Amino acid sequence: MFGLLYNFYKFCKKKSERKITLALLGLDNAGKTTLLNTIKGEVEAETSPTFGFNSSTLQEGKYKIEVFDLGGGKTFRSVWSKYLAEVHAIVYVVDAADAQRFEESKKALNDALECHYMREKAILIFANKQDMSTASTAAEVVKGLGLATCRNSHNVIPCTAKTPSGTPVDGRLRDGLRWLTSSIDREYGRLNARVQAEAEEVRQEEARKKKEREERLRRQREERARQQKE
Amino acid sequence: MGLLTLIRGLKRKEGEARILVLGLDNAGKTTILRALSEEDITTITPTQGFNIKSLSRDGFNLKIWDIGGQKTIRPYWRNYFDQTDALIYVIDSSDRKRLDESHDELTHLLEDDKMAGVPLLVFANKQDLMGAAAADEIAETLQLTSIRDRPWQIQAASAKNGTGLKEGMEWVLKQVK
Ligand SMILES: Nc1nc2c(ncn2[C@@H]2O[C@H](COP(=O)(O)OP(=O)(O)OP(=O)(O)O)[C@@H](O)[C@H]2O)c(=O)[nH]1
Ligand SMILES: Nc1nc2c(ncn2[C@@H]2O[C@H](COP(=O)(O)OP(=O)(O)OP(=O)(O)O)[C@@H](O)[C@H]2O)c(=O)[nH]1
Ligand SMILES: [Mg+2]
Ligand SMILES: [Mg+2]
Repeated sequence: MFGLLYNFYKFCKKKSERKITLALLGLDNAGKTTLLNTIKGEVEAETSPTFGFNSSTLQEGKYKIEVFDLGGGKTFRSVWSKYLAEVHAIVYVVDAADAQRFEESKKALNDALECHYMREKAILIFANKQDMSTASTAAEVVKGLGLATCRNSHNVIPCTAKTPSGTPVDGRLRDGLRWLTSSIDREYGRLNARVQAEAEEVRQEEARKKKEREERLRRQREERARQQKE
Repeated sequence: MGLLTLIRGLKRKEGEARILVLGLDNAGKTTILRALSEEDITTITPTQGFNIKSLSRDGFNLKIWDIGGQKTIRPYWRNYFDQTDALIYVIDSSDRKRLDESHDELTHLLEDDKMAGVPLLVFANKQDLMGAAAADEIAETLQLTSIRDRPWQIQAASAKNGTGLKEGMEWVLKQVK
């Protein structure tokens, strides 16, 4: 009897928990990896440039969030689009102290938004490095990134991701995540169904490419064996 | 540069780490390890079995296994999978004809149960050669972008002139905490 009740309890709990996936995007040196480490509580971890992929899991209310941390370097941006089908929203990090790169950042963001998988998905923009005296305000970042014409639901939140040991973590990081989950909350069912379907589409495409490659290799091997016989 | 210097830079690290270095024959695995150890790289011959590089420092013990990549040896790679903390996969970026073959071997590696979740560093080696494929091109050809079950990083490198090796190893050592 107890077991039955317990299972029922677990069932309800599972039902109320929601899983989402986010991608952390932004130019190299924006502070993506630092920001993720800080939210995870690893404030002292030093970062080096990311040329690849790393995923972490966070909890925010009833949301279990898987975050993809990707490299922002010039050559890596072209592969961001490979991850967009699976995400429910993106977190875009800007080095607010580096206004000279706003134009470049605007272009990188717009390229990502051109991908049809990004249609109607929310964007949380962190205007990072507010500890620097030269940091732009949220309004200046809105202008710099041309967000006035952005059709996706978005919000710019100033923050400082880097946390010297002994100082408290910037609460605005969690505020940002809360804004993002609450904007997803309203249409979770529909959005999640779409994300699952589109992610499956991409997986099948990848599987097809893999088959093609195996076929190519098999033919190469046969060809080689034939030549050796002659 | 040297591996020892890299280990010295690690903060509060103890225990053991086991790193496996794989890749097709002629990729440059042995050359990379020799270069990292500041040893002569002019007299290297194809590895018939394996080489081990073992380093110790302040209670931290690092063992790097470099396995031969010739086709006849590849079936034995599996014997080395146990308890791997990080995998380094080396690619000859100038050998475009064999990128498919290299991709195929990597796929088998990553699908193995014993390799589940093991962090992956890809060295896009031989960047000094004309026509070498760039790191992002290799990431796409090898479908690294479809990996979700482990952290991965790609590092452009040249064992011949030493570029990229230190950066790659730093990433690996960060993963094995
Ligand atoms: N002053 C200051 N520096 C920061 C802040 N956040 C990050 N940084 C620094 O910015 C540099 C880049 O940070 P990363 O987190 O590695 O940047 P990234 O966006 O992950 O870069 P890629 O991986 O190359 O795309 C590091 O030196 C960080 O210490 C911040 O809030 N304030
Ligand atoms: N130009 C150039 N040549 C390299 C580089 N790295 C390795 N080589 C050469 O590539 C050849 C193969 O290098 P190895 O280190 O023996 O390759 P391996 O991956 O250990 O090969 P196996 O032991 O057979 O699996 C040697 O002639 C090296 O000198 C590089 O960065 N640039
Ligand atoms: Mg990063
Ligand atoms: Mg060798």
